[in-house]
Amino acid sequence: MPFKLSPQRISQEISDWNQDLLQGLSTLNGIEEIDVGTAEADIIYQEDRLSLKRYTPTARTKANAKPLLIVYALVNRPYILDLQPDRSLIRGLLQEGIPVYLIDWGYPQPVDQFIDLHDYLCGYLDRCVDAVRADSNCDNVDLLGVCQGGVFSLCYTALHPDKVNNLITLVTPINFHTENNVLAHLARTIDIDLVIRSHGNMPGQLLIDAFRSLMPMNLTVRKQLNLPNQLRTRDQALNYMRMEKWVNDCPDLAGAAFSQFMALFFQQNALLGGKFQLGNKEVDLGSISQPILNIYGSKDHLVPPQASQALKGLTSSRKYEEMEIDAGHIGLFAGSRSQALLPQKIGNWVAA
Amino acid sequence: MKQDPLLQLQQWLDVQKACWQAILQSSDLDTSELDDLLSACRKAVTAHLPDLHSDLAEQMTTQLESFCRYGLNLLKTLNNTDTAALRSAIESLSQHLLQQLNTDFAKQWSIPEHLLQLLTNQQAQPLPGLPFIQSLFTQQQGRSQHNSLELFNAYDAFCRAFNDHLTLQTRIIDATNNQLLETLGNDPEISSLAQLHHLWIDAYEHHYALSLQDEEYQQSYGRLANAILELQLQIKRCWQEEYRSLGLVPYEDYRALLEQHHNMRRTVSTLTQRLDQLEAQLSQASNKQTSHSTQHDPVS
Repeated sequence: MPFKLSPQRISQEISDWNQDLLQGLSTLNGIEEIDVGTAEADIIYQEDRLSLKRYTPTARTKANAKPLLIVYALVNRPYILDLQPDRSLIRGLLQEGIPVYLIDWGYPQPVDQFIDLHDYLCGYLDRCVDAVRADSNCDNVDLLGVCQGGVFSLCYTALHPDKVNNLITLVTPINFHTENNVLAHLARTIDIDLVIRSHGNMPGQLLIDAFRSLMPMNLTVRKQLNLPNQLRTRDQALNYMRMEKWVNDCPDLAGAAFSQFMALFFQQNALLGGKFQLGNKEVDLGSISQPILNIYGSKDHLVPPQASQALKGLTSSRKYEEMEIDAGHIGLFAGSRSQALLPQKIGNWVAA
Repeated sequence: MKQDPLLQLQQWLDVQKACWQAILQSSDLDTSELDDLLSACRKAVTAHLPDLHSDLAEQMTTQLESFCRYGLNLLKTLNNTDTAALRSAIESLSQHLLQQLNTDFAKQWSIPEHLLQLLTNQQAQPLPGLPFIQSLFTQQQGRSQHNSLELFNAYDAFCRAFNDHLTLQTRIIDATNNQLLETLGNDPEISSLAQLHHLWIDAYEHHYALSLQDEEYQQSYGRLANAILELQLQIKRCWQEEYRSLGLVPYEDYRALLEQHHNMRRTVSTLTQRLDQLEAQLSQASNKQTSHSTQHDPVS
C-alpha cells in the first residue's frame, strides 16, 4: 500500500484537526458582525429598488475633475468594490481625489419581472447620470462599468454620447463566443424563455449554483477542508466571511432584462456586430468616440482576456487603451495586490 | 458563547485523545464510543453559537466527523497491501467525498432522504454539478400529485436526460479514480489524510474541467437543465388548476396582473418626466416674461 498513513499519524492528524476546530470556534465566538461596504456615502437619488450613492474624495480633487459613476453588474452586489477598508477600489479612487458615485441596483421583486434592458439603460441609468450631472454641476460624467455593467456603459455611451466624457470598462465581456468561455458555452444550451416562464425573475440562487457547478468540488468540499485555516485569526476569519457573504448574496435578476441580455449577447453576440436594436433604439458602438480604458484580468476564468480584448477596433474611440492585470475576475478589483495598481492607473488616466 | 462550552470542548478533546489511544491499542478497532463522542460534540458546538456563525461551525464539525469516520475506515483496511485493497480504498474515498457533497446539497435544498437516494441510486453522484437540479426541490413541487400527459412527458424527458448525464458523470469519477491510482503508483509519498483528499479533488476537478469543454457534456448539461425547468413548469401548471378551483389567484393570472402593473408604472414614469419638462419650460418662459416686463417698465 503506497500510503504512509500509520495509525499514529492519522490519530495525530485528527487530533490536530480538533485543535483547529477549537481555534476556529473561538475565533467565531469573538465576531459579532460582518461589515461590508463601509465607506461613507450619501444617497442622492432613489427609484424603485435602485439607489444612487455619492462618496466624498479623501484627497484633493483635481481641477476640472469629472464625477466618476460606477455601473456595476446586475449579478451579485456592488459592495465587492468596497469589501473592507484595505480591499476597496472605491476608497482607492477617493484617495486619488476622484468624486465617486455608485448605482446600487437593489433586489428585484416578482413585480419587477417585466423590467427590460431598455428600462435599465434608457430609464434607470439615464436618470442616474442626470442626477450625477445635477449634483456635481457637470455637463457630462466619466463612466466605469464592471463586467455586465461595462456592457451597459458601452451601450449607454453609444445612445447618449453627450453625457459621457471618459469610459472605463473592467472585466467586461465583449465577445461571448470565445473558445475558452465555458460559462457562455453552457449558458447557450439553456432555454432562457423556459427559465423565465418557470420562475418569473431569474433566481439569484440558480446563478450561484450555476457558478458553483463550474468547480463543484473546489467550491464545496475543498473549501470546507480549508475552513480551519481561514478561521485561525480574527482578521483572517473576517476576510473570509466578508467574501463568503458577497459570494452568496446574489439578487434575483429581472426576468425580461435577463432574457434579453442572454439573447442579445450570449446567443447573438451582438456587440461584435457593432450595431443592434435595443427596444426602439439602435446601439452603434462605432459611434463611440470617447476615450476608453479597457482593463481585464489575465487569469479571469469567467470573462477570459480574449473576450474583453475584442473591444479594440469596435469603436471610434480617439484614445483607446488596454491594461492587463495579473488577477482573476474578482481579484482584479477586490484583491489586495490590485489595490496598489488600479486606483492610481484610473486616476492618472482620467486626469490626462 | 460563554467560556464554559469552550472548556467543555477542550475536555471532550482530551477524552477523544484517550479514546483514540484505546482504539489503537485494541485489536478489533471498536469505534462505537468515538462515534457517540463525535455526535455529542457536534450538538454541543452548534447549540451554543449565535445563528450568524452556527452554519460555519456546523460545516467544520460535520467535516471533522466525516474526516474521523473515513480515517477509522481506512485504518481497518491498512493491514491489507494488495492492489484490490488500494482500489477499494480509493473508491471508498470517492464515495466518502461525493456523499459529503450531496449531504450539504440535500441540507441546503431540504431534499427528502428517499428522493436523494433515488437520485443517487446505489452510487453517490455529484448532484451540485448537475444543472438547475435544485430548482426541483421546493415544497410546492414536492406536494404535487397530479398526473397529466404533459407532466408525464416532462418527467419522462427528465429521467432520460438525468440518466444520460449520470453516465457522463460516472466517466468523470472513473477517470478520477484511475488517475489517483496512477499517481499513487508512481509517487507513493502520501503522508496525511488531508493530502489524500486534496489529491482526489485535484484529479476530479481536472477531469471535470475537461468534460465541461466537451460539446457532448455541454449538450447533456443543457438537456438536463431544460428538462428540469420544463418539469417544474408542468408541476406549477397542475397547481394552477387547484388554485383556480379553490377561488385563489393562480400564478398565470397573477403574472398578468404584474405585467399590467409594470406597464402602468412605465406610463406614470413617462408622464412624470414629461410633467417635469413642462414645468421647467413654464418656469423658463415665466422668468423670460418677467425679465422682459422689467426691461420695458423700469419704474415698476
